Amino acid sequence: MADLLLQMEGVSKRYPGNGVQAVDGASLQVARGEIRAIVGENGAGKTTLMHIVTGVVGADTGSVTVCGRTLVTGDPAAARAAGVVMSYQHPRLDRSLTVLENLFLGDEPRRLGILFNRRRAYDRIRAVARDLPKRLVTRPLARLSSGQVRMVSLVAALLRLPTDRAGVLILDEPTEATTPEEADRIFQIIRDSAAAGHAVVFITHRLPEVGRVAHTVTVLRGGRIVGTYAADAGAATLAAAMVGSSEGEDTLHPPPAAGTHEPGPVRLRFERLTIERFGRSLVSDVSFSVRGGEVIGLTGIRENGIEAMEGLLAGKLSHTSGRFELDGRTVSDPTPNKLRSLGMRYVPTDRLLRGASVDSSVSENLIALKRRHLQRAGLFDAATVTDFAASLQRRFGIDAALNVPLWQLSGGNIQKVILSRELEGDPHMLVICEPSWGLDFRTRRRIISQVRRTAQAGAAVIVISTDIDEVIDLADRVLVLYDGRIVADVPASEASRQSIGRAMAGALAVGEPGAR
Amino acid sequence: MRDRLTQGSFRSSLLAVLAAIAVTVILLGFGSPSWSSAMRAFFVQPLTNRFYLGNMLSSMGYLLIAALGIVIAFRCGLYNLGGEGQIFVGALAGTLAGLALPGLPGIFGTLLVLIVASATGALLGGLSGLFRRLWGAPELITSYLLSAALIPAAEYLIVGPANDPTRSLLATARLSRAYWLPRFFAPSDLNLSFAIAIALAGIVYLMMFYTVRGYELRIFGLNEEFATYSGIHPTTYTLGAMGLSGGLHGLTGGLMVAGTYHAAISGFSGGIGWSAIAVALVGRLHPLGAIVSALLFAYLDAGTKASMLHTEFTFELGTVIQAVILLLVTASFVVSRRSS
Amino acid sequence: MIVNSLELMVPILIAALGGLLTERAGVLNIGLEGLILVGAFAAIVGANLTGSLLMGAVFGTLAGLALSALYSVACIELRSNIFVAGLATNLLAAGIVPTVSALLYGTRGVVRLAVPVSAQRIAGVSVMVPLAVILAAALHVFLFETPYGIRLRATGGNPQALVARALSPDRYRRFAMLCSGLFAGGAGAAVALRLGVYLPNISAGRGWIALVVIFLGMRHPLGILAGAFVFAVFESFAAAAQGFTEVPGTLLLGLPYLITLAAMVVYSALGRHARIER
Repeated sequence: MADLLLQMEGVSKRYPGNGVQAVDGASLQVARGEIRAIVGENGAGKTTLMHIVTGVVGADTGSVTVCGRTLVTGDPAAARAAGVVMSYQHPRLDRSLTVLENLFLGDEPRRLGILFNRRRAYDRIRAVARDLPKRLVTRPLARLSSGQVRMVSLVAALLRLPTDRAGVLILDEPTEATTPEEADRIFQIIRDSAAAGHAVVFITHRLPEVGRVAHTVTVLRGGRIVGTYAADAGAATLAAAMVGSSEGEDTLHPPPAAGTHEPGPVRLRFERLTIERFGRSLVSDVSFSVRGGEVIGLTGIRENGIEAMEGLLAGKLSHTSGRFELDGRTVSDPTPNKLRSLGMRYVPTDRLLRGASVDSSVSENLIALKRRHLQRAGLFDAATVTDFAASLQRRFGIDAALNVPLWQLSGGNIQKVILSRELEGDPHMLVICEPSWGLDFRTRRRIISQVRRTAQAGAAVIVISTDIDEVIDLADRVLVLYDGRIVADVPASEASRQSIGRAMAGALAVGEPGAR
Repeated sequence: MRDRLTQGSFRSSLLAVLAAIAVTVILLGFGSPSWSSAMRAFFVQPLTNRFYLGNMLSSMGYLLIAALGIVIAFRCGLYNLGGEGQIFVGALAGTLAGLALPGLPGIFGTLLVLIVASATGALLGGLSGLFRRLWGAPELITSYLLSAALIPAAEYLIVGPANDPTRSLLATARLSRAYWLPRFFAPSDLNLSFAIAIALAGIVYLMMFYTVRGYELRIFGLNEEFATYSGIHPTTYTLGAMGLSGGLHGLTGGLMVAGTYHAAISGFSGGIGWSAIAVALVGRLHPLGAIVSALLFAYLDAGTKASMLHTEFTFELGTVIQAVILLLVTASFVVSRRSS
Repeated sequence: MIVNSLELMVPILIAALGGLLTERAGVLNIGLEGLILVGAFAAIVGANLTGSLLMGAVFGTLAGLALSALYSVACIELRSNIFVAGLATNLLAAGIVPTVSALLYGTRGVVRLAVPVSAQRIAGVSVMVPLAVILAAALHVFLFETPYGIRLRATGGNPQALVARALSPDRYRRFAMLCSGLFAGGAGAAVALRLGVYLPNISAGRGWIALVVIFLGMRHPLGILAGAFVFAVFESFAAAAQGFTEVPGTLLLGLPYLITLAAMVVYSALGRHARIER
C-alpha cells in the first residue's frame, strides 16, 4: 500500500448555500506513477472532489491520505506540504509579466542576493519540462496563445511538485483551448511526471484523451463514483457510465423540437462571413441560417471562432466580408445598439461584466431592456416597474428580494435574473452563451426548458457553448467551428458526443475520423 | 484601476466631517491667541444674525449647484476635476457677454449671462468627455489640465484687457443693475440663486432616479460594458454627463456673478470647485443628500471666515477642511463583505 | 540651453519615476503635485534650519514621505477612492504649506533660502543631472531585474496573481506610494533649492506633467527619461521665449498645463489601438 499516493475514503460534501450534494461517499486510490483521468458531466462533482484533495474545500465526512499522511481536509497548506499540487483551469497569472516572471512569482531564484536569477529559473523549468523553448519564456504572457498559456500553467504546477519525493499532480482540463500539437506536448509532460514517480489525476471532458494518456479512468455521476475502468474501456462505455442508463436516453436524445411544428421564417442569416482582426482571420467563410422556432448549437474549442461569433452577434466585432442579415435586413456594421433595436436578445459568456450591473438592484437589472416602456409622463411609474420586475421574479423563480444589489445573490440567481430579462416578451432572436455554466442540475433544467419555450414561441435561438452535452441537449442542429470554419453541421438527433468531439478537435476537417 | 465612488457609507461621511471639525479645532488652538473666542466665532457666529445666516445660505446655493454637477459626472463614472476652471471661465464669459450687451431688458440680460456661463462650462466639460470618448484620454487628467491652463488666461483678462480701472478691485466692470438677481433677506447677499439651487436638486433627483436617461446614466457609471450591451449609447453619456457637469459648474459661476459679485473678480472660484467634490461625496452622490451636505459645508465655510479675525492663518483652513474630508469620505471604516 | 534643459529635467524626471512606481503598482498618482509642493517648502525650511543644502534635500524628501504616508493610509488601510484621496493630498499640501509658513515665518508667500546656493557641478552641469539619470537606470533594474520589482509590477497587472501566491498586493502598493512620496519630495527639493527660494505654487503643474510623462514614456523608466527631457526642452524654450515676446507672464502660467494637455490627448489618440489590445 506504500505505493498509493492518494487515498480517499467515503468522502462527502454538501454545499450549505444551495444544498447541493456535490460529492457523495467517494473513494479513490491513485498509485505512484499512475495517470488517472476523472470524467463526468458538468456538475458531476469532479472539481469539488479535486478541491477536497487540495484543501480548498473541506469535506463533511471521509478521509484523505496523501503520500501516507492523513490530511485534515479544508487546509490548503497541509495539502501542499503533503505534496499535492493543482493546476487550475483559470490560473491566476499576470498577462503583463513574462512567462519566466509569472512562473517564479513569489519564489524567485536570486543572484547576488537581490537580483532575479533568470538562468537558474530557466534551468529549473528545463528540469521539469524539457520542451519549453527559451524564446517562449521571455515573452509577456499577453503575447502567448491560449494553448501556450495552458502549458505555462501546467509548468507552474510542475515547479511546485516536490523534487526529492513523490507528489500528487492534479490538472483541471489541461488541454482546454489547445491545438492538437500543444495537446501532444502537454501529454508528454504528463507522462514524464508520472514516469518520475508522481501520481497524476486529471479532469477532462474529452473522452478520446482518456485512452491516449491515462492508465485508468474514474467516472463520476451526481457526486458518486460510478466506477473505475481501464483506459481502453472505450468512449461508448464511458459515455454510458457518465450519463447513467435510464436518464441517459433522455438527455442524449431530446425530443426534437423542430419536428413538432412548422419552422418559422428565416430570422438570421450568415453568408460567406469572414471576421478578421489585426490581420488574423478569426472566422472564415461561414454560412448558415436560423429560422424562427429553431435552436442552433454553435460549438468548438476556444479560440476556434466561437468567441468571434459571439463578438459579432453582440455587436462588439464587425465582419470583414460576407453578409449578416437579421429578419431580412442586412446589418453592415453591427453595434450593440443596432442589434438591440432589431430585437436581438443576448446572454453573454461573461455574465457579470457584460450581462449585469452587479452594484444595481435586482429590479434595476431586470428592467434594462424594458426601460422605455415603464414610464408615464416621462417618469418611471413605480407601480409598473415593480409589477414588471415581480412578474419576472415569479416566472423564473428568482429567489431574492427585488431591491437588494445583485452581487448579494447566488450565482444561480444572478443567471436567472439575466435570463429572465433576455427571454421576456417573446423575442425574435436570442443568442445565449454557455447557458448552464456554474448551475446546479435543477436550475439547468429550468433554463433549458425556458430556452426551448422561447424557441417554440417563434424565436431563432443560437446557443454558443464549449460544452458538447449542452449543445446536443439544447439544440435542434449542431454546428462545429474549427479554425474559424464550420466543419460539421448535423441534426442533434444524429449527433453523438464522440462525433462532435472529433469535429471540435479538427479530426473531420482533415478527413480522418478518430485520428487527432 | 477605476474603482467605484459609491464605496464607503453614510458612516464614512459622518466620520469625515467629524475628523475635519476636529482638525479645525486643533488648528484654531494653534493659531489663535484666544482659543475660546475663535471657537465661538467658528461655531456660533454664522448663525447669529441675518447677514451671516443669509450669506451662508447664499454660498450653500452655489455649492449645491456645483455639487450637483459633480453628482452627475461621478454617477456616470466620470471624474470631472475641472470644476474650478469651469466655474471661473464660465463666470468670466457670462460677465463679458453681459457687459457686451448692456441694454437688454433685465430678465433677458440675466438669462444671457447665465446661458453663456453655462454653455462655456459645458463646452469645457464636454471637451474632456470628447477626448475620452474619441481617444480614451482620461477625463480625470484632461479636465484638470484644461481648467488649470485656462484659469491663468482668465486671470490675465481680468487684470488686463477686461479690467475696470475705475474700481480698486482686480475685477471687470460691473454688470448693469438690471441684470442682477433679486435679493431677499437684506443685508445679506442671499438671492434667487438659492431657490434655483434647491429646485435644481429636485430636478436632478427626479432625472437621476425616475427617468430613463437617469437610469441609463447610472447603469453606464456602474458598468460601462453592460450598459453598452443593453443598447445604451456611450457617446451620449460620456459627452452628455461631462457636458452637463461642466454646464452646472458654469451656471454656478454665472449665478455667482448675477447674484453676488456682479462682476468677474480675480481668484473668483476660490476653491468652490474642490468643495463641490467634497459636498457631493459627503452627500453620497445623492442630489438630496447634497442639499444637506452643502448646508454643512457652507456652515463650516462661514465659520472659517468668521474665525479668520481671531487667528493668523484661517484662509487656508478651508482648504485643509476640504482635504481632510476628501481623504476620508470614501473610506470604508467597516470591512467590506465584497472582496473584488 | 541644453544644460538648462537638463537641469529643468531633473524634478520632472524624479517625480515621474516616483509616479511610475505607483502606476506600475496599479495606482494612478494624482497626488504628485502636492507631494512636490511640500517637498519644495520643507527643503527650504530644512536648509534654513540646518544651514546645509543637503539637509534641505533630506527634509524635502522626508516631507514628501510623510504626506504620502497619509495618502497611502487613506488608500490602502481605509480603502478610500484613490483619485479622491489624491485630490485630498494636493489640497492638504496647498493648505498646510501656507499655514506652517505663517507659523514659522509670519508670511504665506515667498520664503528665501538663507544658505548660498552652491550647486556641485560636473562638466558644467549640476550634479543632480547624473544623479537623476542614475536613478532612472536603477529603477529600471529594480522593476525588471529584482524579485521585489517583479512583484510590484504584478500588483498593477493582476493583484490576484500575488494573492494566489500568498503575497500581499497592499504591501507592494504601500511601498510604491511611500517611494513616490520620497521621490516627489526630492523633486520639490530640487526645484526649490535650485531657485534658492520657495514661492507659492512653486510646483507649477510639475506633478501633472510628471503624470503625463509616465504615459508618454510608455510606463518605462528609460522612456520617462526621454519624455522628461522633451518637456524640459519645452520649458526652457518657453522661458527663453518670454524674453523676446510680448506675451504677459500671467498667461504663460497656463502654458505648461496646455502643453501637457495637448501631449496627453495626442498620446491617447496615437496609442489608442495599442491600449485596446492590452
